[in-house]
Amino acid sequence: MAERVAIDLHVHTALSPCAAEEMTPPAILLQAERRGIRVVGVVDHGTARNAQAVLEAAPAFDVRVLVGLEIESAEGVHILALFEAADAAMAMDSLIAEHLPDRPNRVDVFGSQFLMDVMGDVVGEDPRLLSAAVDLGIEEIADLTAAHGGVAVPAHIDRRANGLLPTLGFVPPGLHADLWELSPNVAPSGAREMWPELRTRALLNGSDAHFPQDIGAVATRVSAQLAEAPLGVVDWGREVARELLGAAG
Amino acid sequence: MGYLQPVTVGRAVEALGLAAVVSAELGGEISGAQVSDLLSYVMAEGKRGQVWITIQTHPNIVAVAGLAGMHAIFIAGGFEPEPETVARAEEEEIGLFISAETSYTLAGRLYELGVR
Repeated sequence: MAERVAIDLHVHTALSPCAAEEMTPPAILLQAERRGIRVVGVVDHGTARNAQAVLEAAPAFDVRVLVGLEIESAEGVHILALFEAADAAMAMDSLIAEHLPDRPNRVDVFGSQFLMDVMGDVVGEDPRLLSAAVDLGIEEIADLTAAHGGVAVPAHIDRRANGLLPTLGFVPPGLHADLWELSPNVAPSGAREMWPELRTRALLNGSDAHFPQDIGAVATRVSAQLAEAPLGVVDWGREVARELLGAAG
Repeated sequence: MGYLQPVTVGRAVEALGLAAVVSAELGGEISGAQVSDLLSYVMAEGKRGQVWITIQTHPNIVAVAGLAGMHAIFIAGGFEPEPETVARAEEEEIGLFISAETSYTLAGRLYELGVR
């Protein structure tokens, strides 16, 4: 059997208010490498402003890196928008910025939102309320992500707080995604028993790590060959979906 | 509370000052109500003849209300349903009404009206 390696597409930096300050770009990638994670997705709530620093740090580690945002839709559903390049992630960031509420973050309630450089030094703070819903529907966010050359992954779809299935009851027919993320609380087989409609969908677990020790706490395995395949992120996502569905079948 | 009159959807719409988006099921007698923005909860707890107060506007709300056999959805908070939501409510003949009031206020008024 071909070698299988772990991927974890959902890790937060210290720019997410609920994440630890130790979640610096190099610390995340070092921990991922130590845990044997071969592909890591690094996101923040409502923004990708640390994406550039994460990508600058990436060549020093043996990890394939995707960057992007975790966006909360108007319905309160979380979805990852993952990109391979900082400019694409930042184009999505600018669009999302126009749809966030015009409210300041409250550091005492939600926590700090640190902007960092490639070394992990704090270079500023984002003053906006980033842990908030935008006024775009979940389907529209998925389509906009694709239009920006990214991969949309509905996040922790089983979770009662901000998960697709509890919030919207079932997968809306107009929501286009190849990959669907489960929280660490349920494995794909268990999720398919609970929600039979998931049988035809490619499911992966994401750690949703906000602390270094949680990176890769759950991880989905794909073939090593696919993890490293020189494909653009959209094609790569499709191939991962195909492989995961094949393994489930 | 046997002296309370049965409340129809039409009577509730008038008393709560709701604006009609899809004017269906006006004669339906309201058997109770749900206040929830989690659709999975309403899928499990929604009952025939109830109305549902929510700030969700997504088309899935119509499917969920239809599944439970509910008469109508009251969208609170000044939110407007998506075009697809309206189209499906028309198709499924489920009442769709909107209000600038909060879910809290609408629920309170509905209770005052006698819906238990």
